Amino acid sequence: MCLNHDVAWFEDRDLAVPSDLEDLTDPAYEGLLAVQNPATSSPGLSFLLATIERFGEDGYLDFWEDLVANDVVVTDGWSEAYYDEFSGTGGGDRPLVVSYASSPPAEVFFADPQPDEAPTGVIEASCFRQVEFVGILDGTERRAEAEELVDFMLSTTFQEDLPLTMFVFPVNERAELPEVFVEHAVIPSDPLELDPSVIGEQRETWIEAWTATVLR
Amino acid sequence: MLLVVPVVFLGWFFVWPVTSIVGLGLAPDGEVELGVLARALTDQSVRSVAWFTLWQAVVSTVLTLLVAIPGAYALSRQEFPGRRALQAAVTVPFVLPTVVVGSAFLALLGPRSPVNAALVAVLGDAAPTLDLRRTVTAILLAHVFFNYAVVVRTVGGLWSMLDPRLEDAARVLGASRWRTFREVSLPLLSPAIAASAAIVFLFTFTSFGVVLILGGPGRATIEVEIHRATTQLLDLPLASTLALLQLVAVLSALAVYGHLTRRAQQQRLVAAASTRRPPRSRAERWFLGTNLAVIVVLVLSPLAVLVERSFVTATGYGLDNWRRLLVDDPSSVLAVPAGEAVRNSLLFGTSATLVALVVGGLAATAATVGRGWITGAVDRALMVPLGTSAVTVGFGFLIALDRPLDLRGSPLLVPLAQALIATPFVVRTLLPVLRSIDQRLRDAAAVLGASPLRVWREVDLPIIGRALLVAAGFSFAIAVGEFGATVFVARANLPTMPVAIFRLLGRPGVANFGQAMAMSTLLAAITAAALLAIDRLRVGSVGRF
Repeated sequence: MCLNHDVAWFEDRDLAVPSDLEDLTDPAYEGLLAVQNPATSSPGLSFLLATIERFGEDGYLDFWEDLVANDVVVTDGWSEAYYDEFSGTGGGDRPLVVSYASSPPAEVFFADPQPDEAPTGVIEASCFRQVEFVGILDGTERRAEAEELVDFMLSTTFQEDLPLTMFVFPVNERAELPEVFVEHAVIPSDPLELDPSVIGEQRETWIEAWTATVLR
Repeated sequence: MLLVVPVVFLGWFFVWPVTSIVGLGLAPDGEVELGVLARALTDQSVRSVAWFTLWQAVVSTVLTLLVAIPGAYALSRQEFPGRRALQAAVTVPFVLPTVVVGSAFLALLGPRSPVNAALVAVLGDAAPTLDLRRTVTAILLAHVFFNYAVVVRTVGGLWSMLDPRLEDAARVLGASRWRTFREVSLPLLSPAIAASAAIVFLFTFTSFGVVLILGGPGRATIEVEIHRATTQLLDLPLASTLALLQLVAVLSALAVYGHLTRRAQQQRLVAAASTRRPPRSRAERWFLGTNLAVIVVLVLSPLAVLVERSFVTATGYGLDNWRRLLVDDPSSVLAVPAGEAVRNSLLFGTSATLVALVVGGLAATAATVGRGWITGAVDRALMVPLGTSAVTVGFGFLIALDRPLDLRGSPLLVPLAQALIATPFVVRTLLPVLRSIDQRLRDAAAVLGASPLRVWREVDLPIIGRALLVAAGFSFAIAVGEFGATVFVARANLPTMPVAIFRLLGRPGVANFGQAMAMSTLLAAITAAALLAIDRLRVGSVGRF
């Protein structure tokens, strides 16, 4: 998960692209950001977690209060933020949106003709590692078959198919990235991360606190 | 006997799955936890959600009736060029996925809408910017948009068969138009109005996508909270409590509805075509013009946004989206060629229509023949799925339908889930017409030696033929557009058109958005074509006697 920006929008206005989450509360960036509700959207949740990692459990709600004061818009899901609010892809009028590191290559791949440069870019300092996973249910009677499926999903063939179907990065290091990813995707060198067990314990509390701060 | 099929259908595919999931939530270990119930019912936020759900549904229903009853008259009693096409077009919103319509509404209600462009053109820079995004007004407008057809079809269907001589007589005796409407037409139409009001109320009470997309994340209906509790928090006790709360509200609404319509009227109906006439006076033309304007602004303009967007390309307008959707290799996003999604939708929609016609037809016949409380109860119970959250039904299917037959992996589940929503429309459309049939006609046929089946075929069928077609068309539209429960039970390799649209919109890339718009336009076009085709069929005709 990374903030995406509309490259042309910032160039036209000669405005620097925000380089840190803190910048987003700067009045210069008022009314420019669209995020998703972490209670209903997984990139929205990742962005909330990114702010918790960046500002700490004591500081993230203050940051969100400032974001609200700076006119952030919250949508329910990714599609509404990306297609109805974000200016980089059409409908909207906001040049900053919570999306993925893989969105710029998708904008190239699904364009006709394909542009030399992606119309959208990634703000590296905002990236949070979001892991999609496959699991085996506890107590299953068919463990062997389940393990075979997981092995298949980890195979190079399957993993190399993921970037252009699911627009996620492969976990298998032997899998090669398609060209459009090599050229247009940014792989954040040092993304924000949180211990999954902490997320598991605190998720509901954080979402409730966020809801109380931002939506009410 | 007639009730066996409806009762089995409802019991197997609604009561059993829903009680299973609600039971699992409330009594995970086999014992009911009353603490959960009490906790949820005293919670301030649950109460405010319940209050919002109720009042927005009431206001939406009243607004829809106010806007659509005149529209029903214009479309069913006035003759004008393009009437059939328009009647099909107003039903289209019904089938479109809310996520697509929501997006079109945002474009029309935002600061860059044509309304604001017009204001700027007239008033210059001093023009106020109208921005209705994320307001209750937007929700209400969208509810009217979606449900306009419910009233137009249900009320218009009956209106087109009321004997115009009654109104003419009132007018000759000196009553004004308004008084004629109030004292002659309105009482005769009341069963259809009550039925459509009940349906619109149930739909808006359980509104989900519209509220999420247009109301912004601060607003929620009970339905939204059930979805959140089930799919995000995995809090089944809370979800079950909310589902129960929703059910209680829905049952109360149906009780009110039953009370309002307990006097089954018998009225003389005539052939639909004979009641329509072109507007003759200036007032009639003005009335028609106003209604057409409402339809254009409210119903057609969001559809126009979709069509326009489906032709937008990187360099202006063109057929790129359509070519990618229909001609190019199967898109990696859809996993199957787009044509297959169309085929699946048609196949599922037709099967669901047949199921709904059989179940609904039998229930309506039973309600006409029998007068017992059981028939009434079944009739009203068939309405309950309309007011039940799709996520509850969908999840219920997945956990309950493994016995006696394991249907969970079966593609049959899709049309069954769709038929659950379509059946009440069949009953509501057929019942007023069936009740209008003079029992003496059937008795006469029976005395002359006709078997019950033959009585039905030669007395009932010719009279209800028209209504049967209306019901079929509506069922088909509902089935094709159903998304909430379908998305739970549709297999990945058998996506319907709404499921495909949802998948396309879930991926970045201009081409995916464009293809989603093209697919939505196609869905709208296919629905309109199907409705027009059904409209042209003839099964007997009313008023033969």
